[in-house]
Amino acid sequence: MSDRRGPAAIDAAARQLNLGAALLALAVLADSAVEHYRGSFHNRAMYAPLLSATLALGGSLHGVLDRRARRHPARDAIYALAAATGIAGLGFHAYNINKRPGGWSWLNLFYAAPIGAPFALTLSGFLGRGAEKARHLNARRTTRTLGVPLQRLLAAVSAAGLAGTVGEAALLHFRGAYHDPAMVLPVSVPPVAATLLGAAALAPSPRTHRLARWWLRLTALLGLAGVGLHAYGVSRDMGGWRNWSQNLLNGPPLPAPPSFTGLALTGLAALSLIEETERVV
Amino acid sequence: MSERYPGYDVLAKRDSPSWNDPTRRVIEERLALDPDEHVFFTDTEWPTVLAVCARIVAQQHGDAGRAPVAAMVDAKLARDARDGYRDPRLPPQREAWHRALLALDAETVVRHGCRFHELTQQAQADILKLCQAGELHDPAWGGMPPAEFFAKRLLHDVVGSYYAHPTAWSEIGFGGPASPRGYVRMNYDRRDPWEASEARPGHEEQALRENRRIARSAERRRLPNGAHALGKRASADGDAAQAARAIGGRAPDVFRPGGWVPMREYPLDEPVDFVIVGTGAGGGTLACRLAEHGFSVVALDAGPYWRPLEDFASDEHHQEKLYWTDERLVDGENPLQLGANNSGKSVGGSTVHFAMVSLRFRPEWFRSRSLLGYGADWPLDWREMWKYYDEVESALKISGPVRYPWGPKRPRYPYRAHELNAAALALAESAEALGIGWSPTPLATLSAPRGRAHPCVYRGMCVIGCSTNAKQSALVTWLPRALTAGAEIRDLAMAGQVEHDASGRVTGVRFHRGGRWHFQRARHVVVAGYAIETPRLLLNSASSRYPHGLGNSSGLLGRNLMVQANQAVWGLLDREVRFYKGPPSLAITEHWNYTDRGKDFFGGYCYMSQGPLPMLWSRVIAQNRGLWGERLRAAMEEYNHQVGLKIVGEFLPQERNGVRLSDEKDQYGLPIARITYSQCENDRRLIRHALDFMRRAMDTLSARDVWEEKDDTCHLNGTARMGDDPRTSVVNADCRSWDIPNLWICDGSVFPTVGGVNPSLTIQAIACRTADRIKALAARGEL
Repeated sequence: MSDRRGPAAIDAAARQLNLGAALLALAVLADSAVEHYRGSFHNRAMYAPLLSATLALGGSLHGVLDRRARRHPARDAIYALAAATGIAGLGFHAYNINKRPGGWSWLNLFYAAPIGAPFALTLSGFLGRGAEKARHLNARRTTRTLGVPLQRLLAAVSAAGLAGTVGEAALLHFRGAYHDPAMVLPVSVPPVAATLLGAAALAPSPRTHRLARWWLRLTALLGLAGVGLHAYGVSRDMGGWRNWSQNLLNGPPLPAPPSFTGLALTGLAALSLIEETERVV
Repeated sequence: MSERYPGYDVLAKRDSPSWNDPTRRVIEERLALDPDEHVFFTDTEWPTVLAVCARIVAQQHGDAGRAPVAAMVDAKLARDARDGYRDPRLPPQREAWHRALLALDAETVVRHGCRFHELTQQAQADILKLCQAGELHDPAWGGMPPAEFFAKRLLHDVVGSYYAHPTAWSEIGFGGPASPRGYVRMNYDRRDPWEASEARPGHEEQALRENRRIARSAERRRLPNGAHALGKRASADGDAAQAARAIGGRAPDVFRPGGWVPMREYPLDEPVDFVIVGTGAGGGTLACRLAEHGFSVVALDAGPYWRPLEDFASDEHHQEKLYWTDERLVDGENPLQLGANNSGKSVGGSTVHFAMVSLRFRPEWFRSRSLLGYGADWPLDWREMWKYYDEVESALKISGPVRYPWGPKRPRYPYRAHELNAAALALAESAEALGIGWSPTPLATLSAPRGRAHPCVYRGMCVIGCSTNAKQSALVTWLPRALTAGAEIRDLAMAGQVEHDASGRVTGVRFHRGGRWHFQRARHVVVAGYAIETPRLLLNSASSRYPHGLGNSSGLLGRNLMVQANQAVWGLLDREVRFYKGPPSLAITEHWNYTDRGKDFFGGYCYMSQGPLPMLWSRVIAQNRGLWGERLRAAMEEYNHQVGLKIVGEFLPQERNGVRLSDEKDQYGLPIARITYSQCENDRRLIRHALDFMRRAMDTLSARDVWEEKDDTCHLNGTARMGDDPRTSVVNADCRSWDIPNLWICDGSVFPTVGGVNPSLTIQAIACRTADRIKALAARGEL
């Protein structure tokens, strides 16, 4: 995207935000489908993230293809719903942890409803809404959200989202005792990307941007490679892929790593927006 | 068809990933049994056997789909597969059955003028009730107490056979075989799609539909031409129990079906540095560490060298092959049950079937005489032991909680704790209600992959041998390391005597292998056969120089046998528990190990959640509650709602408890052991305290039909205690005999006290320490 300038670049960045939101929604859809199936859909509310993430995924893909430089009210609503569903999910998951013997213990953080997971849906919603708003940005007109320039906020939220996802990977890889050296990757590469992105959000500079872009690209690749590594993890469990009915549920979750890719894409898009609107080159 | 689990058929899953080839072979054999086939019983006895079995498990002989119980009992007796212990009031099992069948007919001829099987069912049941109550007195019993026969022989064999059959598994909603696929959903009222659906009142149709779906989805997996979903992997080298495997410079690779690893071999007539008798927690660990220290080591084991992936079926009955079931006599006021729950006969010893509970001693227990006023002090310092516990926990990749709530600081467990199943959640809930601490149990089973070993799949068949290789037994941890370091392991090698020269030093071990006796020369002999076989071997090695056995100048060899209390409280919950899923003891409380206030006894106990499999569970309720017939069947249908709490409790050392040699001989021509056990008043007070406390715990769960299992024990320790004084101990702190400087004992025998935790971690820690001490002594020229 660096070869484009002006409205074309902003349009591309906005649609890339949609793409990042799509990936996050896809990860949530697949992950909650598997995990809530594992939880036997014991509570009807467990269908909510599937529905909401499906909508967010559809809306995001629509946004990716939509070159019109304006917000789309249906997509806006879908994203708002996704963000709200994620927040509600956090409440449900916290309740689930709290009611178990031991309460907020390591054991329940490992095995009860994962406390961080629903937040990915909130991120998808928030960043998707950012994609919509970003369509109205141009060099002379900036938008403030929560009192912060939109492009900076998107960078900061992507950085925070990366940090949260790192936290989740750290917790679950700790549960797996870091038995494989590759398990260290998601807690070493994305934190650098998140820090650089955060720095760019606070004080953009060409040097920070250049570094941040490389680390974000690496993080995006890692997210995709993670699916392969997790697939290998499934194959290592008893019975391997032939025993998929158990190992897909008990093995490392295939849908989890692409959250990194989604957030890296939104981070890159936010950097582009900062560059376009604030003339940081 | 079961009304509780309508339409559910364990066998429908035969070609699903829940079954592997060894299991299919074993179950096929069982299903092929002709219900009228009898090899052991005579034609005259047979109708009586059929009638007795029909009454005990309340089924008509010849009913379609019924378990051929009588034929299964016959097959067991034809093989003469024993339990591992015998109350001397009863003759050996074959003789007991013959005599009892004769006596039952004699009773009915006198009372009704006809044979037992010719009576009405009601009259048959009445006679059996009299038998159970010990109220039959015909001379044909020949002094055998009918009540003992009924409880220990008849119920044991008949009930165990019924619940070893898939028909019974379907009836009680048991998941059945579970390897490679185990279970995923562990919480209350949660069911994997391949588990039986229970008919709740008003929802019978739903359960039927669901159970039929299980059968259909399994059917879809069936591959053409009878090929199995997971491929044939029959071993090319026959039955490990029949012919030795570790020969010709190679030993079985425990991680690969049919695989081999190179093994160094030592000649018999050149002395090796160490010959070790036994390859379990003590001997296996020591063999590894000594070999790694550069000593030449030959380790003998009487048991077979298994490859768990291909030799372990998901079947309780078949897996009894792991237990030491050679005859042993038990007596005293509280005769022990041996075999399944405390004695293994496999390379890797009892660790092949142990429940993996890996706990450290409370530090004060190493000086319980000085600090707590009972038992005996150990010659070991707890701080040194803490270091060796670290080593063992690391070697076994123990899965434990991030922070363990009791005892001094310890390093983080190498792997994280496992998810709790419902049975463990019940313990946790009740502990919180009572205001005491609880914890996920530190277990020697993997919660993440390790090398070629898979993590636990929660199949729940831990005490019958882990076919996943998640269990960190000596077989898959210390012994592969030992082989790499140059040790030789000889399977199916039963030691008969330790021999010595004129100077009194031991010269090696006479052992039986491949149909004849051999002698392995050695500079040092380590006996690591556990608390019965160790004194048995040393007592049987008596000579004119050592008339009371080797290393027995103190007279304490074979004395101070300590088992651990293993009492339980059981109850029923309305919620589904399905405690067959996951390792049996996922949650623990050591509250009463670390709290001394409010106790009216010395010592301590922990208690853990439970998960017995159907065959064991049916015997527990039949023998403890005297249930049989319809009442037993009804009680067993509650299987999936059962919860239990069971202690591991500290019994005190008493010199009167121990191991002697009897006049009877075993298959090797060696005198069998007679084990005497009587509880003391303190033991009884501990039991009472534990049962009362666990009953309170059950009450907090609103459990129904709560009952106490009062007579069970586990783990064998003592019989060759270590100490600081040659007059009051058999070995010193280094496990070295006071009398014979090149004789060592390294297993649970050396415990002066047992504490209230499972002993395996401590045995392994002592073995690691002993290896380091031997290295240090050798460096100083003091070996």
